[in-house]
Amino acid sequence: MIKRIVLICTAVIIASVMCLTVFAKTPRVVDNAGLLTSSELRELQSLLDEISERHLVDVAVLTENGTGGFMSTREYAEYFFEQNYGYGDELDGVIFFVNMSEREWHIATSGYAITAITDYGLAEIEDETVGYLSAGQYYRAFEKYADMCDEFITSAKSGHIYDVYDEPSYGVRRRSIFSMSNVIISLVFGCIVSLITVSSMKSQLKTVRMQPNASAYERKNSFNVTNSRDIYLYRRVSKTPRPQDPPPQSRSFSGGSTTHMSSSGHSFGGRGGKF
Amino acid sequence: MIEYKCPCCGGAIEFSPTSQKLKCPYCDTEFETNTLIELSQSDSAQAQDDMTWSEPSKEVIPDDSGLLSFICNSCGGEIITDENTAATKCPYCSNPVVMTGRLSGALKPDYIIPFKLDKNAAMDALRRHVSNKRLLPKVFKDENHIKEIKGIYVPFWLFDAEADADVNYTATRVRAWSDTRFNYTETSYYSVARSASVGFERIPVDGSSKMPDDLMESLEPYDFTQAVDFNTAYLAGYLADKYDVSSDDSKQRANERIKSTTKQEIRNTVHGYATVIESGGSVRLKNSSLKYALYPVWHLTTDWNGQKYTFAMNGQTGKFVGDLPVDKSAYTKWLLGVAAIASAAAFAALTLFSLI
Repeated sequence: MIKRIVLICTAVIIASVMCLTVFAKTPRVVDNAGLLTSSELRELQSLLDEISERHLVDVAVLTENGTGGFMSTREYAEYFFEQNYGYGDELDGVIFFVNMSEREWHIATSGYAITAITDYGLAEIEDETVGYLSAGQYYRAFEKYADMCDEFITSAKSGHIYDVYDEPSYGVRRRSIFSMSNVIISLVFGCIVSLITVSSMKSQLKTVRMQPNASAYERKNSFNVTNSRDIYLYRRVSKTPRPQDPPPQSRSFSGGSTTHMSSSGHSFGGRGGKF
Repeated sequence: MIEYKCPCCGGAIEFSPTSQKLKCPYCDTEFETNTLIELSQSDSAQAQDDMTWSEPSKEVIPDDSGLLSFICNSCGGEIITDENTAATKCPYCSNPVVMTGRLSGALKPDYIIPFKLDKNAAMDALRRHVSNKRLLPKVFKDENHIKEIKGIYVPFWLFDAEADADVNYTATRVRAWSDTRFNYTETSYYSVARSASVGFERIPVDGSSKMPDDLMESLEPYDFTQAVDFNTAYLAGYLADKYDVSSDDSKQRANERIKSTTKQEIRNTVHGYATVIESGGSVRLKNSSLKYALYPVWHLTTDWNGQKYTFAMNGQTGKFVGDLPVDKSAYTKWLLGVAAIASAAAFAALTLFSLI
């Protein structure tokens, strides 16, 4: 009984602390560059809130028209994150910062997010989102980022950290539902099946053809092999080098996450670039 | 020229495929073929009053076109035929006539397979032939009209031969293995030689230039066990041609077929190799002989959209052949339709597979 009371009390305390922190914080989408419509903003906001609160890891998005000239894109992302987000002592969270003046992006990971979203995972996020950024489809980029963060963190919490040993399954699997390769494979398959079927229907119309041989007129049991000789002549051996395991990756990652210290001394992982 | 007349009523008599006898269409009396032969022979043997002055033969050549004319013994009408016609009908009185001169001596066939199926069977076969074909224009069935239906005895050369053949092949076997660094492929080369003999019986080659060779070969095979010694009585009521392609010209085709079958049979005895490529060889014929036979063919022609379509039925087995037109729009529809369904199914399967 005492145990149960203790448990309930602890739960209430944790919940209230969480509520306090949530309400105290800046929204998880700060769109200072005005890249999103108000409805997109609301939707993204609720999506990020849901993910963040479920995992107790902040997943945030920030856009700016410049960093004021004092900081690089990375430094600004890390600074803004440290000021506004992060669960617990380790500041568990991840931020996607888009700097429109430089057309640069940076994803900074902190605390548990460093563990869950490895360098390999960040590269996957880059593959999936930067195309959208370049195309001006910011909402889709952020949505994709949120989905992938959700999946990586969920996976990490269930004991599997998404890293180099994984096939790039996330992107492939999600894309494959409507991927061009599937469409093309299906179309080619369909065309072949169709050609075979319709050709067989067409061949029913053509019945006049020369006989290929005279097997129908062979006298029964008249076929006699009188001489049969198989002589071995020579052999050739060719060798090809085996592909070395593991199969080469297009980019090399040693696994895990690389980190650095921010100016304030907090440890961050991350990845960024131009779009 | 012979006409077979019913000894009972004097009507022109025809060979009936159903009873395999000569049957008078007027009084329904049936006769064994031999009875009529003997009768006609004894009739002709009887000395008749001969009060005629010497006249030119009844067979006259009117011009250089290769056409010949005969006088019908029944009605006196003029029957024009080409030089190869051996049996026909008088265009005036429809009495069947047989040009015996075209079927005697060196031109006398050795065998004949009598008609087993009649005209109605051929018409039924045509109806079946044009049904259940999805790409056949729908109106073809209703709009094509039988223009002509003929029961023809087509001349065939039958080739018998023993073929001796030697064939050489270059063959390979492939073995593959690997160690930690390399994959190895070992290809072993062999020289393979085979000698064999095989006998062929009665390979038919179309001896009539009027009949397309591919159409005639499509009707094969005929069951030669039902062939009988040639007798002109079987021709009564049908058309027949004598051969106009010589046996020498027909040999070529028989040789091709013998060669391909012999090589195929020998190839089937080469087992256990990854690749087998023929590198040389020869096929030699011995004890070759040939016979001349008449085979029964129902020949039908129809018209549709100003084009002529030819069909043929094996008069013995009922095998029916003839190329039919393709409905282009139906073809396109089916092609696209099946492609769409198959693509959609493949796409659904791939998607399901990737979701698992």
